[in-house]
Amino acid sequence: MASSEQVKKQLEQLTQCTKEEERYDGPKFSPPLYVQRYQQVCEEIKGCGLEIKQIADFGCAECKLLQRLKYLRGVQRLVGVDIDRNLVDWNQNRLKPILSDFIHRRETPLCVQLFCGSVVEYDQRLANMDAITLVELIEHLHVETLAALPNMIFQQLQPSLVIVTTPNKDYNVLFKDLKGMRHWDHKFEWTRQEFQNWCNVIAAKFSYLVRYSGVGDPPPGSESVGRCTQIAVFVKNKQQLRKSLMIESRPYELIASFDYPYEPKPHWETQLLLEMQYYVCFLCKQYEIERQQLEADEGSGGEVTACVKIPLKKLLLFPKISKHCRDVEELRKFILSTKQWVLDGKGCSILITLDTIQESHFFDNGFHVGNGCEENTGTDDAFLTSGNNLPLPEEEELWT
Amino acid sequence: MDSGAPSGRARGRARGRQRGGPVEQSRRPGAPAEVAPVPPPPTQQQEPPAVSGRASHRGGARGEPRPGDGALVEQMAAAGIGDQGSRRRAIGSSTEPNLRPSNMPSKVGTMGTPCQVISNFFKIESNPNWCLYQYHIDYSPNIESIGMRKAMLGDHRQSLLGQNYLFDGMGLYMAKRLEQEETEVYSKRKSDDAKIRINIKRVAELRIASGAGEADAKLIQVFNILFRRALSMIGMQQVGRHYFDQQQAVKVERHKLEIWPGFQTAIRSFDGGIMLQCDVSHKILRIDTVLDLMHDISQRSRQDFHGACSKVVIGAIVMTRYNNKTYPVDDIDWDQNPSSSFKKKDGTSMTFADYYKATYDIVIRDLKQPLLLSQPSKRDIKAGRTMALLLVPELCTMTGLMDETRSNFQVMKDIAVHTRISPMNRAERFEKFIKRLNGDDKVSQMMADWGLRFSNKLVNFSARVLPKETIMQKDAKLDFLPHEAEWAKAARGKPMLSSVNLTRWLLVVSRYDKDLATSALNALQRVAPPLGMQIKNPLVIEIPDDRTNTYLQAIRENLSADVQLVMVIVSNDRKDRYDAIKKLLCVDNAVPSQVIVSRTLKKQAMVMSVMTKVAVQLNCKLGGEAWSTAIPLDHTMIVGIDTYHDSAQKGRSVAGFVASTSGQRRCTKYFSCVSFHHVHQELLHSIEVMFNSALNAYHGIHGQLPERIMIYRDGVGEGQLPIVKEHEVAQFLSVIRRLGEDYRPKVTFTVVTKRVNARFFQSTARDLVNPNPGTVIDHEVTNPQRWDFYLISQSVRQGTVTPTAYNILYDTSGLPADRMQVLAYRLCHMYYNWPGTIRVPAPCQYAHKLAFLVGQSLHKEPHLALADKLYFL
Repeated sequence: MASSEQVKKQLEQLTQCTKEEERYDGPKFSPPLYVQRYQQVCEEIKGCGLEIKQIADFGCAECKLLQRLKYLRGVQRLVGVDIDRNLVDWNQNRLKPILSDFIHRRETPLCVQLFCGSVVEYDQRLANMDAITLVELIEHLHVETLAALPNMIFQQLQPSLVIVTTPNKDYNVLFKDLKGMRHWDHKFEWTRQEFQNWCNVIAAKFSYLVRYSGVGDPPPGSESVGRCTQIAVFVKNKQQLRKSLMIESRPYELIASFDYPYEPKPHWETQLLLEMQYYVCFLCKQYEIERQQLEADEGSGGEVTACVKIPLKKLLLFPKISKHCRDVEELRKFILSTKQWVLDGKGCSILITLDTIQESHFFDNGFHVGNGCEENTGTDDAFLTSGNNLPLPEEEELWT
Repeated sequence: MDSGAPSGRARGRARGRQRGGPVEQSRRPGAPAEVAPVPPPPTQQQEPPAVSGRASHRGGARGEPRPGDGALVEQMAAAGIGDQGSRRRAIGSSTEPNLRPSNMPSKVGTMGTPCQVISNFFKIESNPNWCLYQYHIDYSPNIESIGMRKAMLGDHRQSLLGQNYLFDGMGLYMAKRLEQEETEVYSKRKSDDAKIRINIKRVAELRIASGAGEADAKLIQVFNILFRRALSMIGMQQVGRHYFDQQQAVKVERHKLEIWPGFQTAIRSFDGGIMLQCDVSHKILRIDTVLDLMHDISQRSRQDFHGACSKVVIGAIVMTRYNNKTYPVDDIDWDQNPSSSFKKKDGTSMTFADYYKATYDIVIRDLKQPLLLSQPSKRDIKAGRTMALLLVPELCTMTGLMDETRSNFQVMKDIAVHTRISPMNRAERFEKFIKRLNGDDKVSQMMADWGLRFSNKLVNFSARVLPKETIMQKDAKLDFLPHEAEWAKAARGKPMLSSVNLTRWLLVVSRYDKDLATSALNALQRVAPPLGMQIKNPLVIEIPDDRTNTYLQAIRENLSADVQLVMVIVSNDRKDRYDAIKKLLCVDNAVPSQVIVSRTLKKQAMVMSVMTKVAVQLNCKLGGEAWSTAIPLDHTMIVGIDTYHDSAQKGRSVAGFVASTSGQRRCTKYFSCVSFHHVHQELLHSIEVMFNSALNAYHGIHGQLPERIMIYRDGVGEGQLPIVKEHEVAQFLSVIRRLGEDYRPKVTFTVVTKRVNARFFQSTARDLVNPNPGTVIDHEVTNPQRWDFYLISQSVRQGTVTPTAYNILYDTSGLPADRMQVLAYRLCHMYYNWPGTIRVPAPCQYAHKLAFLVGQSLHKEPHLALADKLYFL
């Protein structure tokens, strides 16, 4: 097998369409330029002031932009399209919901779909996009494709927001060993003037407003060459409503589709009740620890107090409770309404009778008196296979 | 904070178990190749392979075919990412080692009553002539990158290969037979339009049941890859080696936990052929982040916040929010926070907050939180990650249960509702699972393309129930119900096999519990004589309070050379006091002791039954024998070994070594000793020392050395069997060799495994139930590379019984399989703390008890004078 270095290099050649700027001897970017590009695209979407629920990324390649877009608030559908089927197929795992997506569930649904297809073919499944991104895509297109692109994006799909990025040819002078273009597959690279000309024509023709920005600041002294990547942000003129096209057309091949788990936030009372149950239990444990410390220092005095007081004030120290209740009064009202706990005379503390605690305490060391010792005899308890093994409690009846 | 100091037993346990758990093994790709921030390397030495207790269970997988390794190769290349520490393995590169003893007889026995059992295995079915074709792929000019190799071969998916093939970069596997022995196709390299010739050469036809060895290993790996694909097709979520069904997840929100039911599956080669083994498992996850938890703790315990935090977090396995990885937490770094910088590989510095922003677009809200430190595992080091990682608590969730939760009865009860399943339900879950799999369109399409099927039925075959054993006491044979395997009632009021009278002893009690102690003493003196034991009045020492020191002082002042035993009544189960008392009596002195918590004595109705148990225990601690089964071998020494981690010293384990010295067709008296060793260390020389002293003790009693030595080793993970075979067996043999040419005892070395995934059910008219105690399974689902059998020796009342696996690694006894099975079963009757059968041979359980006492309480070698008594009961 080849050394990992070699493998990496070749892999880069094969799949690399994001990091080419890092390869030439030129200014170094931190964070890397492609990351800055993605960050900027996210920022533009966040800051556009429009309600963006559906986003399509043409030329999604390694799906890294989509991976970031899924964290944008309010996004409910993400679509990635690329002409290279294998590339998308291999990278689809990036977009699969990961474990934490199942634990920290979203509050709104999210569907991510990946298609194989061409940017100049109309597919009805992309008809309702709010935003479309074309990141480092146009420079890979042949002349005829490029010519057909504006009509497809701005006329047929008509999203509210379009973001286009492409290399800035003016900047290339700073790459010392760069001959020709930044990537073997680039069909052209544009100067700022060329790019802006192209964009301005589009904006005028399809009634969009366009503004320009970029990422990858030039080093001091070379400011005149502009930023390494140029970005155009198109916003649709508000007056113009989207005319829905009624074309039945599904030329794209669906490669993957992922539905993210979600769960609307429960009512605050339900939330608070659960938090209360948790923290009461949590504080009882503390009581026990303290009692043990006390006994270790002074001896138990033989008698154990009959119940534990948990001051409401103490509960309010936990942000997850104080979030719902501003003061003791509110919390008291809530507790009384739940009828789950008993308050002391003044209504300032919850009373937990010792039995409840002792029961748990009783089993602390697997102290099973009289009843058979299941653990000893090896009851299957599921913890044995859960990856966290329940310790076999001291199986016998007595501490020896 | 003193991070080096372990925080008592909580931590010890957490480390011991959690690290060992399967969660650990989830460092898998599928996740992006970015590495988390890497601070300067700590000094870390590579250690030899470890064989110890559960603590190093994780070692695992040496030689054990890892389902999914193949899949890993695929995913890696598929993701188009560089090899960042994951092992790439070609298909067929791992075969299961042969662990059979050299002169193994047939492992199938005949004794007992046959019965039909159902087990959690599914057969893999295929057409009679099915085979898998293996092709070798060559590129010319040669292509190094696996990703590119795959891409180029992928060009011929439509025209030649079809959708269903597996390619690991070198070998191509598919059910389709290419007409020509060698096929040539061409692909174009995109970067320079070069024409690449691909040569596809047929090299092998792999058939099921072609016998063990390489073909099987390859088939198994291919099957596992397919199976994993199928699982993800039906939407199961992978965590480590387990698959979980998040749609069935249950939230136990009042405890901030979530339980995911799932399956642990593996396709392996068994005596009955290649089968899918499937067991139910549950994943328990915390819903809140580690930072939330730290905040909560800070509100709760203000004084010793750092200590309290460490106790909870260190040793836990955390899962990070931004990738699918899990890490063990080894320490908390209170001096750093997300705005601290770390050095990146290229030498530049970056703050953690910036790093997460740039890499994952995650904004860290709390910039003052400390960081969690995770040392690389041995596997990571192998894979090239030698530096510790720092993790941000806000981005981590804990998996598994905290000790605090674990010890909370209410929580455990709420969890058990979801996790404890009856045999019937379990079997139903398996069948539902396989039906769901077979019923899925995509899966059945894929499997049909490969020409394979999973059987819809669990395997069904015959097992045997060994004859019921006779329990002998002094002048009675005890009778009991076979399915209960318990004789507490039968033994009531009958004299024990041999007893020691208690004449000189101390009873220490605080004045609060004086009355309880008096009534308990009365009860004890009433129940003892019928058991054949005389108990004289003790010297009662009443102490004014229940402070630990008061107890210790009272004992010290009254202890004299002729005191046989000290009984201590304490007001609650505080561990430090218990530890101190045990240390005083087991280490500093050599007096057996009995500690009783006063609460046990409070229920009047229970006192008699409690005291009966105490009397039996006292007798055994003093050197008496409670009962016996017949051990049909003369001059035999039976050895039990188990390990337990030391709660006082991180990374240290205790090995308990117990050897029977009865010799005369019995196994009732024992010699015991312990040794300490590091988790990363083998028991190497310590076994020699311990075995040597055991032989001395035997010689001292019988005037000769044992003719047979049967060793039962517990506390070893599946994957460690080869190391145990290699190292530990050798130590026993080398001691024997040193005793001279003419000393040639017959030696048997058996590894006892309690954590097994096999389950067995017996069907009755309308239900599936646990098989009766004594059921032995020695074919069909056993391992062709081993002399193994499963024995169900215990009876359980709830849930599904877990069988115990026995692996005979070395044997010169010449005993047939039947005898081995019966002997193991008999030994399961011999544990004096439980009047019934237990799940492991008694010597193992004694060894466990001993290691537990030393690891949890004593932390030092017990006094030598106690070595011939079961003081640790």
